[in-house]
Amino acid sequence: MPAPASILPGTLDLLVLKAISLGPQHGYGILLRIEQTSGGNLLIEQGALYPALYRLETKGLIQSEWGQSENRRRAKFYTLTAAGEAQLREELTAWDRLVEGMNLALAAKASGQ
Amino acid sequence: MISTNWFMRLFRRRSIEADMQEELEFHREARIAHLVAQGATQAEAERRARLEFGAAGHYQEECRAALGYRVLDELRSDVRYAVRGLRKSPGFFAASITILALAIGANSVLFTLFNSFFVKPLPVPSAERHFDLNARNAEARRISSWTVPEMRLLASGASNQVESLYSYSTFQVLMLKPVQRQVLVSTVSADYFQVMGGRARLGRTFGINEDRLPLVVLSDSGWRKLFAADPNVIGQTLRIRSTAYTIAGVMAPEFTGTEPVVPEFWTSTGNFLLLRPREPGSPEPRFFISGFLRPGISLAQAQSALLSVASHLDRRDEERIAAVEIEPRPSLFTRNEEVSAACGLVFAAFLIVLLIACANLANLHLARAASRTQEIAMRLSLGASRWRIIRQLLTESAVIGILGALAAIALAALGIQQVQDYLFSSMMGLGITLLPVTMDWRVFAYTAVLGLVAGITFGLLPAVESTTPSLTASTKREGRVRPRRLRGLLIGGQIAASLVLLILAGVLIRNIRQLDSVATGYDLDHVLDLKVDQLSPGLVDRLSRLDSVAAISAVSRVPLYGRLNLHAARLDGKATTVAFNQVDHRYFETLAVPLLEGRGFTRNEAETSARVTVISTATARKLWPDAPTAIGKGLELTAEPGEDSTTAGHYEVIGVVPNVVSGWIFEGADPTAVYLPASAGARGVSSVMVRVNGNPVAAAAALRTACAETAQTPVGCEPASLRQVASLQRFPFQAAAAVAGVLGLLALLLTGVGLYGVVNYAVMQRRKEFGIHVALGASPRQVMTRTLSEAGRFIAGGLLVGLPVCLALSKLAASSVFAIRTFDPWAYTSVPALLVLISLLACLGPARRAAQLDPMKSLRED
Repeated sequence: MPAPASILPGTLDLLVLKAISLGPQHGYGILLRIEQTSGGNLLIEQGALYPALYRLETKGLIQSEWGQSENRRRAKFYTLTAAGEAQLREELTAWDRLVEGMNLALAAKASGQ
Repeated sequence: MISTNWFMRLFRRRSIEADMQEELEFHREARIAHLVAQGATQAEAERRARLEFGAAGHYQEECRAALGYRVLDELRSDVRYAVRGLRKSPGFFAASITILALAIGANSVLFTLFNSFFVKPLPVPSAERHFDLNARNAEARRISSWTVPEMRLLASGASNQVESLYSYSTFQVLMLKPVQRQVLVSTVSADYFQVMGGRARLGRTFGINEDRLPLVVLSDSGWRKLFAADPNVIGQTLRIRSTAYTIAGVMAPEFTGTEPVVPEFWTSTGNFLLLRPREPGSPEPRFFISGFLRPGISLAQAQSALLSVASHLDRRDEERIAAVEIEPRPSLFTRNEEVSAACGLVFAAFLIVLLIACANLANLHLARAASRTQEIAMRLSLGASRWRIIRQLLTESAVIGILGALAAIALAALGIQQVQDYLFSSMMGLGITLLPVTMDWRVFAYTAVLGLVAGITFGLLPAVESTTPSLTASTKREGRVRPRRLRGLLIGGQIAASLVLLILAGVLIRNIRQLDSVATGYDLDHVLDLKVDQLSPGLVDRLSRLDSVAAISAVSRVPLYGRLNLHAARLDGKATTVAFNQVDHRYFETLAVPLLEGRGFTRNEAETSARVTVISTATARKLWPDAPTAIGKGLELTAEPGEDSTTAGHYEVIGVVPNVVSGWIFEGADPTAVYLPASAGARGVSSVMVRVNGNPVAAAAALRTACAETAQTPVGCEPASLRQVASLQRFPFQAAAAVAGVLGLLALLLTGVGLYGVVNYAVMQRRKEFGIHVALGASPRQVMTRTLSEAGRFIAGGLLVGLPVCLALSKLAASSVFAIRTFDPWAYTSVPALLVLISLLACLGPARRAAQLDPMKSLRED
């Protein structure tokens, strides 16, 4: 297995939003979810997650609530707000465009010109 | 985005902090459990969890930043840190605060004065629209007085641009009842109080239809001074000359009028001629005029509207108005360019002192920061950002700045009292009560800003310097080379700045000395200017019979009230001008000025204004340089075109007197002086002076009584010796020298203290180096010489920079009012000598300490 790649700068928020959109989850769970869904290809420094969570919450994109974890510990669970869902949709479209553009640009071959 | 949410969270701060802790703790535990489940040992799992998480403190900070607390948080902890530091070394901080308080306090005093005169709005509504009305004639000569009918024409002609105009004139008169004393009265337009929106605390004010009624309104201070704040004062009368005036009201204390002096009472312009009678046939009295613009009207609009009326006013040719000038005066004084330039210079001098204090503190704190390099290096290597530490150090100096500003306000309050007492006692001689100067929010704001700016200014250098990453220096305790050089620069700068201020003070003090040494040519102490409000031949006769009066003389111009007027003259067909004064036959006797040649005027010549003249030797030399004597020569005095002169005519010189100083003492003896005979009652001859026997103070009292006891109408008089008049001339110089002296001494003190601190610190820092020197055989004298010569470099550098600056500044100051002679060899030699002496004294202690270091002890340290 190749070494996991560091995530692109600026994409952490998108990843977190996406992970939360799959269902309410606590911080550690979000981390695991990103690791699993990326097939272990993305590595996030664990501490860096929390500033991102606080940032998103301050922006009103996610909200938090204390609840019970799988092993019966008190943990803070995050859910997406309506604004967060809208933001996620928007960012996903933007991401698709970016990927498409990047692919096209990188796949370009020397033409007749 | 600061929302109410943010504030809500501020209050829930503690629980949020706890939440954050718990959340991160949960993460750690979950991770450990996960790793253990994958087969790691507990210890291994804990270690990996910690590593994977990264710098927890850093991320927590970021979380707080995301919540928007961080700035606030850090500020709070910085302030706490600063206060803790303050408590830890109270002496150091007390010294810092004292230094700053002295320098800022001086600036606050200055600003308080400036604020009261030039910034604080007049105590009337819409002060921002208040203006003074002036004009210029065709030759651009300034015209600033108007008759009442002219004012009415102007007000009605420009009523769309000008809301209101009012006239005013403030002068002293002798009040006879209820007590006999000189009072300051202001005659104002009858609608003055309506225009000003002034409110009476007792009784009422007078109104537009009461111009001719003998009513007065007391000022609050006049009420207290003249009537001991008697609540039943309304309806009582006071008498001036032959008129009894009824007291209509007492103004509220806030209402102090629109001038820097507060009159004892106001009365309407209609009473002006009753208060100051004129000879029959005199032109209509003229007054200053001020007013308010209508809202939204520009100066230019108002000026052109007023000019269209003013240019048609019925005035003599040379008084005809060619331009109207409206000077906005929202405060007591207009702030024109001249004032701004002069104030700029004064403010600069005061700010230099603050700059010295800042340099001083920067130096002290640079030294302190150097002793904290280890602490700072430690924190930097633990991951604190440099900016974070700089901010922390700046907070510390800003706290000192604010505390310094607080102390400065207390000092300034004391200082203002001193300045005020000084000004009051100087002006009291003139019988003028100045408006008390008070501190207001502007002064507090200015002081606080100065404190903050000064704090950050002096803190910046040490903060930047001590956080400059330098791995090698952090572990050693030796001072690095760069800060040492920086400290040298700062000390040199302080020396240069103190030099400038001290030389300025020195030059000014020398100028006063010079002023005092000017011989006026007569006795200042025993000649009194009587300052009568009405002169008659009878009065002169009666006073001359008093025992205490040795001689008495009526004149048009008592000496020392400014330059003599010039008279056009013709000599051998050539036009020239000579300064002249109309004096009676006892003038030279009164001043005790001897006649060098010829004779003085006879009584008959004085009473008939005969065409004979006595001139000064300088005049004789100027007009007839080759003649052996001027006696018997003829001098033609001519009238200005259009002027009806009573003094024009052909005069024969009958006497020559020595040159005396009649005008400004600093200008020296009169370049020309032509004395023309006249007597009391002649046009223009309204002053009288006496030479008294014995004690001038007792004589003055006797004269005052004699004036007041004149049979029908008592005459007000306020005798002042020519010495007092001269001291008024001296006053601006004295004040300037006093200010410069105080600033200079402050600068000297600061520099001395600063130098001591820095040299002392340098010695302590380099104990080891000196220890090695001594151990290698250097004698104490050599060590001392070395220390002193290093300090000497700063001092010499400072002097070398300061002297050219002084010379350049003195060129600039030569154009200002205060300076007579700007280069003074005494000041330029003694001040640097004094500075060197003080500096060496400041260095001597530390240098001796260096010499007495025990090498064994200093080498063993660390």
